[in-house]
Amino acid sequence: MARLMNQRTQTMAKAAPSQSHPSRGIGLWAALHLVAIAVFVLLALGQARAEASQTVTQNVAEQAVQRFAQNCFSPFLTADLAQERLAMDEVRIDFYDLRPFSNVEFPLPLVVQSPLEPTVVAKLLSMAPLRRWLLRLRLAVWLRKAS
Amino acid sequence: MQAPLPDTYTPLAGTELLAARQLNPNRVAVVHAGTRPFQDGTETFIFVERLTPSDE
Repeated sequence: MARLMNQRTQTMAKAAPSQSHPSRGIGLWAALHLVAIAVFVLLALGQARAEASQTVTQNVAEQAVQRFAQNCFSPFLTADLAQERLAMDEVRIDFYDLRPFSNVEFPLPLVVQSPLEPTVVAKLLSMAPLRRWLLRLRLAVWLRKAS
Repeated sequence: MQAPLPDTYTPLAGTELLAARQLNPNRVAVVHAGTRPFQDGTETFIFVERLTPSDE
């Protein structure tokens, strides 16, 4: 019995310091709340930023495809016009016209921001006699991010 | 009118559409759209090419 009393006394002695400073527990509780709120706000901001970025990407993709559809069969399209009408941030354009319908002053063929190396274009042209069909006009839009 | 795809075109792993259309007896249009690896990510591409007979 005395041993049990001793244990209780020791337990009360251990618990005594925390009871003697109740403000410390309240402070810890408040700090935890503040940390939780800060984490929640950071998560919400991150989510909002990700959604905004995704919306911008979708808008760029929609505009690029819309402009592409409006211009891809225009006989008046030149390299300069393609650049003017289709160029956007995050978008690369490849325009190639072997025999343009419109009069242009620069030498042909002209490739604007082509993902193809000049040697590739030259190779395509050199393959012409072997092909049933020869590339005459090419308009390509490359979006740097998948939509 | 649908046309046979010239044998110089092959679909990529990310190809969504690859088709040829006969615009007139001397014109074929090929449309290719899809995604492909680009640098450290993926890019979306779409292109149309007009082809003429090689003997024209």
